[in-house]
Amino acid sequence: MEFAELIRTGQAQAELLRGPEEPPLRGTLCITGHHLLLSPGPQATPDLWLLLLRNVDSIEKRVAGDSGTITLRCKDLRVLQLDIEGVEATLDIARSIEVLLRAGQPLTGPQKRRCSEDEDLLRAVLAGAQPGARGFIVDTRSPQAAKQARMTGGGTEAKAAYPGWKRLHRPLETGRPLQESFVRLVEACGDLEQSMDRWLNRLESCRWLSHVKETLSTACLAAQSMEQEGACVLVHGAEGTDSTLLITSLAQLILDPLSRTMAGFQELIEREWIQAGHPFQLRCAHSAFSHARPKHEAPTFLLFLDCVWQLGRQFPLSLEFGEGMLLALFDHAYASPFGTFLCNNEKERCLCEVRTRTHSLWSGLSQPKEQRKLRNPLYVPNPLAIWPSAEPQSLRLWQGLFLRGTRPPEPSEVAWEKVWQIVTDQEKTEGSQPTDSASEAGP
Amino acid sequence: MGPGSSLLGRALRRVPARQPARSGWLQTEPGQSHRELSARGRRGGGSRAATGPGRAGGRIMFSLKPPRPTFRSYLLPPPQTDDKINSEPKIKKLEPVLLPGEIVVNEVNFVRKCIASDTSQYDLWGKLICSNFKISFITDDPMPLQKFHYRNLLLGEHDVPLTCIEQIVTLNDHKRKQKVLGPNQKLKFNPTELIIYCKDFRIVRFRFDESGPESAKKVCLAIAHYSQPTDLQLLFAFEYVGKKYHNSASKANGAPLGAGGSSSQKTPLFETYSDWDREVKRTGALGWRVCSINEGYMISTCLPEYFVVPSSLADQDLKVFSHSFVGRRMPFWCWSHSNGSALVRTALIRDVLQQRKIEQRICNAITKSHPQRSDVYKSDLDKTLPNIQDIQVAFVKLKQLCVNEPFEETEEKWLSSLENTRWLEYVRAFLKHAAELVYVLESKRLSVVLQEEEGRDLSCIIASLVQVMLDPYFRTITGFQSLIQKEWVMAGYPFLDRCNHLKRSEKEAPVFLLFLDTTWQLLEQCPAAFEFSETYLAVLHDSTRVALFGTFLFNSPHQRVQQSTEFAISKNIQLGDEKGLKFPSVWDWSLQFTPKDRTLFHNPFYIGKNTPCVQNGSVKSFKRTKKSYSSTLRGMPASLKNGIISEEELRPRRNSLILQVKPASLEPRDSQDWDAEQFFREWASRPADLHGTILPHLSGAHIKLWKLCYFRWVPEAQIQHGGFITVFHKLSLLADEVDVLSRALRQPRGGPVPASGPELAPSRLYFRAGGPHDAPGTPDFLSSSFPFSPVGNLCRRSISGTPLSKFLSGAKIWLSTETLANED
Repeated sequence: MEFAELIRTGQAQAELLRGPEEPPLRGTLCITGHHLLLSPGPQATPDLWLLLLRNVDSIEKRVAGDSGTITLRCKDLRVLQLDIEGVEATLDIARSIEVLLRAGQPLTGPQKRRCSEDEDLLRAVLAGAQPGARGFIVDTRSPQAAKQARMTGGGTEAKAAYPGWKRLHRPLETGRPLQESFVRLVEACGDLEQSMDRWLNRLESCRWLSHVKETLSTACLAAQSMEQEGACVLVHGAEGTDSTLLITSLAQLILDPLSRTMAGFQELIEREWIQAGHPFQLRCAHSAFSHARPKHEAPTFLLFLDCVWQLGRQFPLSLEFGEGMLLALFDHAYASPFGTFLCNNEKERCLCEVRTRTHSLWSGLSQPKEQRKLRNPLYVPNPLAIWPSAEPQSLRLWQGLFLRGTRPPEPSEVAWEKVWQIVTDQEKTEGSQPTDSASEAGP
Repeated sequence: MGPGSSLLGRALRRVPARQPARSGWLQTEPGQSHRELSARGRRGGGSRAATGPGRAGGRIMFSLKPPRPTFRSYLLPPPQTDDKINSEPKIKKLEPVLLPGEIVVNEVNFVRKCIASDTSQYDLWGKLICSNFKISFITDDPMPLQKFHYRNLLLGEHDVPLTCIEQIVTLNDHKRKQKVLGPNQKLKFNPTELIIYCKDFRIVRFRFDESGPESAKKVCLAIAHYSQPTDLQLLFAFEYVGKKYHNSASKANGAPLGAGGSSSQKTPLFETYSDWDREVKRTGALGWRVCSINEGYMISTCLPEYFVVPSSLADQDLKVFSHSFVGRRMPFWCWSHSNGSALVRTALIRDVLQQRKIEQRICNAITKSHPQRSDVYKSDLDKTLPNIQDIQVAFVKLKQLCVNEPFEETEEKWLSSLENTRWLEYVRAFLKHAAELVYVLESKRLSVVLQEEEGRDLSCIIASLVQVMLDPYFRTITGFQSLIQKEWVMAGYPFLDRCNHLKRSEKEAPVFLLFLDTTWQLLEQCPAAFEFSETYLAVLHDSTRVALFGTFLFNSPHQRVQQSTEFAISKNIQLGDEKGLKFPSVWDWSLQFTPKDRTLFHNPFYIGKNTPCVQNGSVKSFKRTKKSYSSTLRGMPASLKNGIISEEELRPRRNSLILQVKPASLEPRDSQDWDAEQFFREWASRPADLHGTILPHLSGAHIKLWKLCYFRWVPEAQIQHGGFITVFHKLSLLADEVDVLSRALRQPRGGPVPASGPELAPSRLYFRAGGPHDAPGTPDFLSSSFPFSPVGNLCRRSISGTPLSKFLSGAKIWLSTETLANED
């Protein structure tokens, strides 16, 4: 690879600390153009530890005595610490990683005002509206913002031109405020012990949970208009590639039992996010640890995942996928060896031939080994709509993500592991023995 | 409720009110079922079984305005002939269900119980009675939108025990007057509305638009009078027990000693020598003995008759020492660790001159009782924990926050308002302190002495929590009940004052609730370690408000004996050998719930030592590995860094009663602090031993609000068909199936066991696998409030307290009116 020449030192002896749950790993550290590798000595476990360099959000080096420490903060919110023998080696490795990071940053593609898929969708909805049928347009901007957009040539639907449509404004923040909220939240979660006595105040001032609340309630509103009013709903924001997708995909999860299955959820993400042109490359260029000034970054997709997590927590049986799936999607959206989340829209993907030149995440996730981590052991198909409570009292911080690696595993998680085992065991026995002895012995 | 009803309407409607016998027409009136169904169809949008009785309502829809019952009576006059036939049984049905000794003091007919304040369409019509035990609303109308009702055998679904009433407010909306009713007060206006604020956060509203103004007034005054009795002996439990004793003929079968009483029989009450003796033996405590110097409460009126002391202290010494202690509460033993360290509670020594000497003697004696002769670790609770006033203030704030009416107002500031109540902070403070003492007992192998001014409040929580964390026995139902008997009831926790049953106490404080809350936190964090469920804890809390059980009625066991003896003499009851009257125990759950309902107390997650499901060796899966983690990394588990206040920190703050949680200091910590940190770390790195010590995670993110207890009546916070209960349900089915299967497996091995074996042993779980009427999937009636129901218990603006109610009301503003006019 062309990056290879930028690497100063290829190897060093290092110890890796990954978090309170996992044992430290000791071995030889290697840097390649894309990965950071740590191979433990032959006596230890044969597992290679591997980190995609694109996953690194920020790097911090410190030298003490004749050894150095490099702290890597990853986009998936993990914090890793490398203790490296030798000052020189430490500095070299740190420099190499830094160089690679800079070189590996994505180029911002040509910015499109609006993605064509959204316009197609818009037209199709309008054409499909039967005479007399009512429709609601959920605008995710505030009325002021919409007016401003009109001044600059952007669009809102003029009332006269769309008989039968009502416009509702549910302003959702996207872009920089959202990113800032995300950064503040991760910061607060990072030093939990510092803010212990004012923890809730701090959590509130991050405003992340109120973003979750607003998103969920708007999605409920859209879903309710469809379900109870039988009306067509058109959701749009400024460009149709951020908050719009948030609302449409959540509304589908609420209403459509199929989208709550493993396959359905993947389809939903493929359709509503990837093909609808959410600019993953731009939005996920940096995560919360980066010191770079945010330009187009926004954790819109993360916000979606968080809302799905809230749904899953309120309806623990109704989603076929579990927290593991959401975490995996989050990880891969920010840094992934798969091509699924590459590029900003379908057009770019075609140009880069992503389909033919990379592997799809979905095939990666369908490995049986992965499935166990991704599925919800308690899943029971639920044909009804699931109406979440969007009250702040019902929302919780997604600890599995935001306190990832920094908190000890909760006993309840250990209990979940147990539940998983029971359920899989049961499935196994049911699979091998068609007649269930419980039904005979029970009554 | 605005003064909406027209005067004309009232005049017209009062006609039937003068003929109380004709209550029949009222009942066919409101047409609930129709409405209920239409409302339901609108909300969930799913297939729901119509649970409402099929009375055809057929009443036309109404506007959203406050009630105008005027129309109602004339639109659908029920056929007179039918009504006359039906009127007899219906009137009979409106009779209150009374307990022995319970009498109706006052009653009023044609009362409307308000369900929602934005519409009267769901309101129920019936009779409001006030007895010497409860207020009861008797109606034939089914509760709208309610799919499940957790039945209490003592209390109907609309009943409120008098001891649960917090405040009584009467209103007259024509005169625009309002009055909070105290005892023996006069009411200068005829109330049109009565609002009962309950201690368990419920708010119940009644309207008297159609009832006789005089009788309405009388009922209000009666409720005010009877809910604020002047004397302890006027509480209903005395009347009830007196009746039982008088019916001595039926006493043999009246005393609940049948199958239902088993749980109360199993729970040691610690009233006798042998209970204490057994507890000493169970914990393997050597060097401790049961002493009986307080027999007949000769020494102290707030200690139990029997308690446990170091063997090396003679009765004579104890008698001498006792004078120096506040309330003569000398040190007494609570529990011993298997390593010999003991947990001891004591009051402060009043006598400053003697203080040193006595302290020395006691400490020496405790040291002598320790197998390793270890030192004694003293923990002064008054100086490290919030006091009872703080707790009460926090609780009042929490209550305001939870029942806040325009619920949306709290929305933006919810988290900070919650924090400002300081309730969660106190919950954490108690858990933290208990965890620190666990470290001292288990790792440092020191005996711990809990010191508190009187030793009757904070010591109760800390002593119980330490034992719950250390001893798996106290995490079973029987064990937990015996713990409450031992550390609360017998140890002299002043239930009467703290629960404020007589409404005159200045020292009301929910210390017991705080204990249940802290226990809930442990349960939440370690679900597999507890035999009981959160429903059990909530129901236990509710039971403190039912003035029928002797358990939670008195300030001390002595008060029970003294008061009941007085009462017995005044009522001519022969007590015989008994010490005071035998009040029903709250542990006799059969008095309150059917066996089936009681199974909801069982936690399906629980992996008990005796349950077969653990014995296949799969406990091994609980392993987890954890190695040291450099503290230079961000986000060390907060509990480790900050979990311990060093002794140095504890001591100098003599005046501060407010808990201070300092941010982790950067200066080097002393060795003990470091040791404690190490202890917590090591504990966390070991596989979780559900039958050993459990410790809580203490970071801000881990302490949660107990939603089932505080939010069960709030429709807005309810999650329909969701919430934790769905997991509970599913796991119950799994656990039950495992039970059934393992029972089936054991049968052939055990030889000729009767075939009816599995049927004889009732399931420990509420939800059973493969039951006859269990359809696969999640039952319709589950919600995050299960088994409680917000409907009718908290009069809110809107009944459709689904999370969507806000959209419905909000959408009305945005959407065109024609789309939503027929919504409500």
